[in-house]
Amino acid sequence: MLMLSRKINESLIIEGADGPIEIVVTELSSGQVRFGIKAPKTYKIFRKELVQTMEYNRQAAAASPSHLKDIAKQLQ
Amino acid sequence: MQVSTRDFGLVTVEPENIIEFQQPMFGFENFKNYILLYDEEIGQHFTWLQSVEDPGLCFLLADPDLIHPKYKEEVHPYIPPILEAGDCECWTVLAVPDNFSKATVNLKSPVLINTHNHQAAQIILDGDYPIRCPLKKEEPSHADAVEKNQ
Repeated sequence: MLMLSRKINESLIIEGADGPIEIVVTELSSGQVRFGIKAPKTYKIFRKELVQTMEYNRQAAAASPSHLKDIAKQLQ
Repeated sequence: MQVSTRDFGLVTVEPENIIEFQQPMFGFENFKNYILLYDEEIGQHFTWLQSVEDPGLCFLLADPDLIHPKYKEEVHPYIPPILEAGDCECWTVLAVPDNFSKATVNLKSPVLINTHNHQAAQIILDGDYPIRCPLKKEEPSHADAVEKNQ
Protein backbone atom coordinates (compact mmCIF):
# COMPACT_ATOMS: atom_id res chain seq x y z
CA MET A 1 0.00 0.00 0.00
CA LEU A 2 1.33 3.45 -0.87
CA MET A 3 1.46 5.78 2.17
CA LEU A 4 1.39 9.56 1.66
CA SER A 5 0.82 12.50 3.97
CA ARG A 6 -1.16 15.59 3.04
CA LYS A 7 -2.06 18.77 4.89
CA ILE A 8 -5.30 20.69 4.44
CA ASN A 9 -5.78 21.87 0.85
CA GLU A 10 -3.07 19.59 -0.46
CA SER A 11 -3.98 17.08 -3.17
CA LEU A 12 -3.17 13.72 -4.62
CA ILE A 13 -3.48 12.92 -8.29
CA ILE A 14 -4.04 9.41 -9.56
CA GLU A 15 -3.48 8.97 -13.28
CA GLY A 16 -5.87 6.44 -14.71
CA ALA A 17 -6.84 5.07 -18.09
CA ASP A 18 -9.88 7.38 -18.29
CA GLY A 19 -8.10 10.46 -17.02
CA PRO A 20 -6.74 11.88 -13.77
CA ILE A 21 -8.42 11.62 -10.39
CA GLU A 22 -7.71 14.43 -7.95
CA ILE A 23 -8.28 14.03 -4.21
CA VAL A 24 -7.94 17.11 -2.01
CA VAL A 25 -8.12 17.33 1.79
CA THR A 26 -10.65 20.08 2.54
CA GLU A 27 -11.20 19.65 6.29
CA LEU A 28 -9.36 17.95 9.07
CA SER A 29 -10.91 17.84 12.54
CA SER A 30 -12.19 15.65 15.38
CA GLY A 31 -10.66 12.44 14.07
CA GLN A 32 -12.22 12.88 10.66
CA VAL A 33 -10.93 14.05 7.29
CA ARG A 34 -13.07 15.51 4.53
CA PHE A 35 -12.03 14.95 0.91
CA GLY A 36 -13.01 16.61 -2.34
CA ILE A 37 -12.73 14.27 -5.30
CA LYS A 38 -12.61 15.22 -8.96
CA ALA A 39 -12.77 12.27 -11.32
CA PRO A 40 -14.02 11.39 -14.80
CA LYS A 41 -17.65 10.25 -14.71
CA THR A 42 -16.67 6.73 -15.67
CA TYR A 43 -15.12 6.23 -12.26
CA LYS A 44 -17.43 5.31 -9.38
CA ILE A 45 -16.48 6.37 -5.90
CA PHE A 46 -17.79 4.55 -2.86
CA ARG A 47 -17.24 4.48 0.89
CA LYS A 48 -15.52 1.18 1.52
CA GLU A 49 -18.20 -0.13 3.86
CA LEU A 50 -20.76 0.26 1.08
CA VAL A 51 -18.67 -1.90 -1.26
CA GLN A 52 -18.21 -4.45 1.52
CA THR A 53 -21.94 -4.50 2.19
CA MET A 54 -22.71 -5.01 -1.50
CA GLU A 55 -20.26 -7.91 -1.67
CA TYR A 56 -21.67 -9.38 1.51
CA ASN A 57 -25.26 -9.12 0.26
CA ARG A 58 -24.32 -10.84 -2.98
CA GLN A 59 -22.71 -13.67 -1.10
CA ALA A 60 -25.65 -13.89 1.30
CA ALA A 61 -28.20 -14.03 -1.55
CA ALA A 62 -26.44 -17.15 -2.80
CA ALA A 63 -26.84 -18.81 0.60
CA SER A 64 -28.13 -22.32 0.74
CA PRO A 65 -30.78 -22.80 3.41
CA SER A 66 -30.22 -26.53 3.72
CA HIS A 67 -27.97 -26.11 6.74
CA LEU A 68 -30.12 -23.53 8.42
CA LYS A 69 -31.97 -26.04 10.57
CA ASP A 70 -28.68 -27.26 12.03
CA ILE A 71 -27.60 -23.73 12.86
CA ALA A 72 -30.95 -22.88 14.37
CA LYS A 73 -30.85 -25.98 16.57
CA GLN A 74 -27.37 -25.11 17.80
CA LEU A 75 -28.63 -21.77 18.98
CA GLN A 76 -31.76 -22.98 20.77
CA MET B 1 -51.80 -13.18 -4.84
CA GLN B 2 -49.34 -15.96 -5.60
CA VAL B 3 -45.60 -15.44 -5.22
CA SER B 4 -43.02 -17.84 -6.54
CA THR B 5 -40.28 -18.32 -3.92
CA ARG B 6 -36.79 -19.79 -3.86
CA ASP B 7 -37.25 -22.08 -0.88
CA PHE B 8 -40.99 -22.44 -0.26
CA GLY B 9 -42.42 -23.01 -3.72
CA LEU B 10 -45.52 -21.03 -4.63
CA VAL B 11 -46.99 -19.14 -1.67
CA THR B 12 -50.15 -17.09 -1.27
CA VAL B 13 -49.76 -13.59 0.15
CA GLU B 14 -52.00 -10.64 0.83
CA PRO B 15 -50.76 -7.77 -1.38
CA GLU B 16 -50.91 -5.44 1.63
CA ASN B 17 -48.25 -7.54 3.38
CA ILE B 18 -45.65 -6.82 0.74
CA ILE B 19 -42.70 -4.93 2.22
CA GLU B 20 -41.36 -1.97 0.25
CA PHE B 21 -37.71 -1.01 0.60
CA GLN B 22 -37.12 2.76 0.73
CA GLN B 23 -33.39 2.05 0.74
CA PRO B 24 -32.98 -1.26 -1.15
CA MET B 25 -30.53 -3.95 -0.19
CA PHE B 26 -27.16 -2.54 -1.27
CA GLY B 27 -26.10 -4.03 -4.59
CA PHE B 28 -29.73 -4.92 -5.39
CA GLU B 29 -31.09 -1.46 -6.07
CA ASN B 30 -33.66 -2.64 -8.64
CA PHE B 31 -35.44 -4.89 -6.14
CA LYS B 32 -37.77 -3.05 -3.83
CA ASN B 33 -40.59 -5.43 -2.94
CA TYR B 34 -40.25 -8.44 -0.68
CA ILE B 35 -42.27 -10.70 1.57
CA LEU B 36 -41.20 -12.22 4.89
CA LEU B 37 -41.47 -15.98 5.28
CA TYR B 38 -40.86 -18.17 8.30
CA ASP B 39 -40.22 -21.85 8.80
CA GLU B 40 -41.96 -23.23 11.90
CA GLU B 41 -39.22 -25.73 12.58
CA ILE B 42 -36.53 -23.09 12.47
CA GLY B 43 -38.39 -20.55 14.55
CA GLN B 44 -38.97 -16.83 14.81
CA HIS B 45 -35.32 -15.81 15.08
CA PHE B 46 -34.76 -16.39 11.37
CA THR B 47 -36.76 -15.09 8.47
CA TRP B 48 -36.59 -15.34 4.71
CA LEU B 49 -36.66 -12.01 2.89
CA GLN B 50 -38.03 -13.17 -0.46
CA SER B 51 -38.11 -10.86 -3.46
CA VAL B 52 -41.52 -10.55 -5.10
CA GLU B 53 -39.86 -9.37 -8.31
CA ASP B 54 -37.35 -12.25 -8.70
CA PRO B 55 -38.18 -15.73 -7.37
CA GLY B 56 -34.50 -16.61 -7.21
CA LEU B 57 -33.60 -13.66 -4.98
CA CYS B 58 -33.90 -14.36 -1.30
CA PHE B 59 -31.95 -13.26 1.77
CA LEU B 60 -31.83 -15.06 5.09
CA LEU B 61 -32.14 -12.72 8.05
CA ALA B 62 -31.24 -13.49 11.64
CA ASP B 63 -32.38 -11.81 14.83
CA PRO B 64 -29.35 -9.99 16.31
CA ASP B 65 -30.58 -10.85 19.83
CA LEU B 66 -29.01 -14.24 19.14
CA ILE B 67 -25.51 -12.83 19.42
CA HIS B 68 -25.57 -9.26 20.68
CA PRO B 69 -28.36 -8.51 23.18
CA LYS B 70 -27.77 -4.73 23.20
CA TYR B 71 -27.55 -4.38 19.41
CA LYS B 72 -31.15 -3.36 18.79
CA GLU B 73 -30.88 -0.61 21.43
CA GLU B 74 -27.71 0.65 19.79
CA VAL B 75 -29.29 0.70 16.33
CA HIS B 76 -32.51 2.36 17.51
CA PRO B 77 -31.35 6.01 17.23
CA TYR B 78 -30.33 5.42 13.60
CA ILE B 79 -33.65 4.13 12.35
CA PRO B 80 -34.80 6.45 9.50
CA PRO B 81 -37.96 8.42 10.40
CA ILE B 82 -40.05 6.81 7.65
CA LEU B 83 -39.64 3.50 9.44
CA GLU B 84 -41.07 4.80 12.73
CA ALA B 85 -38.51 3.57 15.22
CA GLY B 86 -41.05 2.36 17.76
CA ASP B 87 -42.58 -0.26 15.48
CA CYS B 88 -39.48 -1.23 13.60
CA GLU B 89 -37.84 -4.65 13.60
CA CYS B 90 -34.07 -4.94 13.34
CA TRP B 91 -32.58 -7.89 11.44
CA THR B 92 -29.13 -8.86 10.23
CA VAL B 93 -28.22 -10.55 6.95
CA LEU B 94 -27.02 -14.12 7.31
CA ALA B 95 -24.37 -15.53 4.98
CA VAL B 96 -24.15 -19.32 5.00
CA PRO B 97 -21.16 -20.86 3.24
CA ASP B 98 -20.97 -24.59 2.58
CA ASN B 99 -19.47 -25.10 5.99
CA PHE B 100 -22.38 -23.95 8.13
CA SER B 101 -20.27 -23.53 11.25
CA LYS B 102 -18.75 -20.56 9.43
CA ALA B 103 -22.10 -18.77 9.00
CA THR B 104 -21.91 -15.04 9.71
CA VAL B 105 -24.21 -12.11 10.26
CA ASN B 106 -23.57 -8.55 9.15
CA LEU B 107 -23.76 -6.23 12.15
CA LYS B 108 -22.49 -3.25 10.18
CA SER B 109 -25.46 -3.12 7.80
CA PRO B 110 -28.72 -4.08 9.52
CA VAL B 111 -32.05 -4.49 7.75
CA LEU B 112 -34.88 -2.53 9.33
CA ILE B 113 -38.45 -3.62 8.68
CA ASN B 114 -41.66 -2.02 9.89
CA THR B 115 -44.32 -4.69 9.55
CA HIS B 116 -47.09 -2.19 10.33
CA ASN B 117 -46.47 0.36 7.60
CA HIS B 118 -44.62 -2.18 5.42
CA GLN B 119 -41.61 0.07 4.86
CA ALA B 120 -38.06 -1.23 5.09
CA ALA B 121 -34.47 -0.15 4.56
CA GLN B 122 -30.95 -1.46 4.83
CA ILE B 123 -28.65 1.01 6.60
CA ILE B 124 -24.91 1.11 7.22
CA LEU B 125 -23.93 2.03 10.77
CA ASP B 126 -21.05 4.43 11.45
CA GLY B 127 -19.87 2.53 14.50
CA ASP B 128 -17.18 -0.11 14.58
CA TYR B 129 -19.34 -3.20 13.89
CA PRO B 130 -18.12 -6.28 12.04
CA ILE B 131 -19.45 -6.99 8.57
CA ARG B 132 -18.85 -10.67 9.23
CA CYS B 133 -19.68 -11.71 12.76
CA PRO B 134 -19.69 -15.46 13.40
CA LEU B 135 -23.16 -16.68 14.29
CA LYS B 136 -21.76 -19.35 16.54
CA LYS B 137 -20.00 -17.62 19.42
CA GLU B 138 -16.43 -18.63 20.27
CA GLU B 139 -16.63 -16.83 23.60
CA PRO B 140 -19.75 -15.85 25.55
CA SER B 141 -21.52 -12.51 25.31
CA HIS B 142 -19.29 -9.46 24.72
CA ALA B 143 -19.55 -8.04 21.18
CA ASP B 144 -15.98 -6.71 21.38
CA ALA B 145 -14.68 -10.25 21.48
CA VAL B 146 -16.03 -11.23 18.07
CA GLU B 147 -13.80 -11.55 15.03
CA LYS B 148 -13.29 -8.49 12.87
CA ASN B 149 -10.83 -9.96 10.45
CA GLN B 150 -12.65 -9.06 7.25
